[in-house]
Amino acid sequence: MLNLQTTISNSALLKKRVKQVCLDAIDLSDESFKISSDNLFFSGNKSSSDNSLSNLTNLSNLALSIRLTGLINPIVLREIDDKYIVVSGFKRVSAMRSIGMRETPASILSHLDFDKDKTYDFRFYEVQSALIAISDNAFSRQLNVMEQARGVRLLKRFCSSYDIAQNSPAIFNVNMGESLINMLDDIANMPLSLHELIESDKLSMSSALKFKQYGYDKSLIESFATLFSKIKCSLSKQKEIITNIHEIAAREEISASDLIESKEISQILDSQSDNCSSNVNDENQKANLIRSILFNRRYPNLFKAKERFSNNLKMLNLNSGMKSDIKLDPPADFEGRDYTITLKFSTVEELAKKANILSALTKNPLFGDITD
Amino acid sequence: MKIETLFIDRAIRPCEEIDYIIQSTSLEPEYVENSKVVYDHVNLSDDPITKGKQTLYITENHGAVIKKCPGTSHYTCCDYTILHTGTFCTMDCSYCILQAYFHPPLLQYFVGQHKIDAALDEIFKENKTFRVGTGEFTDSLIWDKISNQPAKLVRKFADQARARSRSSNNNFSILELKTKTVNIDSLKDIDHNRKTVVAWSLNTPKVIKSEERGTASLSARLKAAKECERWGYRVAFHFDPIVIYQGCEEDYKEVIKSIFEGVRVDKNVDSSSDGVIKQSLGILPESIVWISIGTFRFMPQLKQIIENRFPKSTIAYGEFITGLDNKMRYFKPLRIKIYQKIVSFIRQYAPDVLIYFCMEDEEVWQKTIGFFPKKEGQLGAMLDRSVMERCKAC
Ligand code: SF4
Repeated sequence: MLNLQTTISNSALLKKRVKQVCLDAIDLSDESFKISSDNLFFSGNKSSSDNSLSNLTNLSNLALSIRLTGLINPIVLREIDDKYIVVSGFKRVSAMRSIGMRETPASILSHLDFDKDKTYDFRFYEVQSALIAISDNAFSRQLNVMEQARGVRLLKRFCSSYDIAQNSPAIFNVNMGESLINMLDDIANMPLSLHELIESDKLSMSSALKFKQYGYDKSLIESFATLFSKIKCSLSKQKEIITNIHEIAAREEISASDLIESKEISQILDSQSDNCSSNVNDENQKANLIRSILFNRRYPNLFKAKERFSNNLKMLNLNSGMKSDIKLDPPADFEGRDYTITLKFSTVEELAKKANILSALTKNPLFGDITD
Repeated sequence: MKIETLFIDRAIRPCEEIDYIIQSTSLEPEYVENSKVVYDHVNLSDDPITKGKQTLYITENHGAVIKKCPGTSHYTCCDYTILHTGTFCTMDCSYCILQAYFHPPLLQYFVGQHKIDAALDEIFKENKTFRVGTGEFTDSLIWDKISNQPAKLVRKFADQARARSRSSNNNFSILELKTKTVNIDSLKDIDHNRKTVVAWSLNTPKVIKSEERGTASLSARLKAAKECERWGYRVAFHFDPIVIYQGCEEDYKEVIKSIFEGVRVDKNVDSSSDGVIKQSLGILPESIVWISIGTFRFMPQLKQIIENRFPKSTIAYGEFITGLDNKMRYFKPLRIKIYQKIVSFIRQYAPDVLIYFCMEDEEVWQKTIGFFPKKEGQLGAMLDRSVMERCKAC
């Protein structure tokens, strides 16, 4: 493992020279040092088609800005043979190309000793480049989780989590603990489809980490990615869905993929909304329907008991007339014995009337059934 | 699990008790000035729980030797008294609460028989029955392999009863050795005066195989219980944790049948067997002081430990809800259903044996056994009565 402090103190060995570079000579397909998200400016609530639209808009804004004020910060490149790869500035290169620019000033990295001494430790060069790629972004705006994860992955090839955590304020512009570094590395090593979900706020990092905890392989994670790409729910509900799928599958000795791809769940996922504009709502509804199916299968007896209780409650007709201000709640999960009645009133007369209703309720055999 | 490292607290004077352990483990001890070295050895390993099972620390108990069982709110407690002689276990049950209880999890043996004797003498003086157990923070008989502590305790309780019989105090206390091992050799020739109850936690072969790593098989446990009964000991059984799975009722029925009708002992399941398939006799109901039953319940933080250490286990994936004491418990109707079955199976063989629930509420008692020891101490008094009836000297 390399020591980051040593690497930083060796930064003098890194040579930077600014020169004009032909934009066509830059190989954008090499994303080895790419940190920033394509959908950087996206709002989390946008669908993927909204995202690509937004992406184009933001890219053209950047292009307009470059046309108006010129390139404020030169891009950083590494020279490989007669080509360049980007260390920092992917978006700027795309923006400049989009407005027909042919050349740009760029900072070219190379190692001072590289040509002289073939035995020099190439890893220094890699780590230095990674540090530039991360810091260039981290000190101009706050990195999102996936950007941090990609940064961590670049460094983890050569440095320990402890070392990265210790130096995190200088690299990521934020204090990070060792365990967070490990988590980010785990996330970075997960399939790209999951990265997209995390970036578009459809899946939280901690939900995604459950896949690691359960030791899921790539194909299983892909099944979950498909599921979460079609629904939208809060962090706690995401975790509930993942946990219930895992536990049902383990208990029933089936694969989690088979459960996700079962007819019952697929039908919900693939159902089309009548109203295109209610897509978010639709995704929320799908999530709730799936949660209900999973809860029923995970807790069949509890589910039945809850259903029975609400059916009985309906038959008691507590929603009509004066009764509608009387609310009956069972003990949590029917474990305790205490039922709760909440009663609203504004005058003594009203209270007396409702007391009579309550008294009549206690004589209703259905009420006895409920509380038995 | 084999003990691989032996640490000894340097503050403890060399004594016979320690020599015995060193000899039985055949390990080169490392003497330490303070426990931090030991804790680091465990905590800094990749799997501290496994490491804690392989690391024995001989030290002194700096806390209370005798403790009241903490019980749990909202559920009936049996008023047990804990004799704190050691911690953790060399066996490895997925559901073991001790994995989450100790920080760090560490096998500790507390030397100082004189301290234990003094604490016991104090309770023996009281005109009261104490049910004292060493199986709360450890398995009572794992220690039998490396120390003579269990045997010493058996003698201590036997003598207390003799001293009392000479006084006007008719009450006596008993020792319960609770185990999943068959380490009973040292109990064989002791004049125990019937003041020790040897108790086994029982489960179905399916649960033993999947969840109780390194424990004795069901048939071996029952064979050992029969042996203890032959030596004049009273025995007890704990169906705890009862695990609910498809077909569990039939399986628990078979276990109960094996207790009372005997077990087939064959070489596949019993390494102590000579290879000949035999039928051992069942336990007589009058030899059983009590049978406790309790379904699996766990502190929420145990779930992740089980998932990490026993990825194949599905024990935590039953229909659990959060109980009133914040532990996870099976949905109550499921508990009641399995309890009703198990109680009726036991009753077929042993109508008079005291059956009690560990940590259950009034509804469960009423719907299963038909009464509820409502008053504080009532369950304890029932157990004491069973002691007085069944543990009189032979
Ligand atoms: S035998 Fe008891 S103490 Fe030992 S691991 Fe199993 S549950 Fe824990």
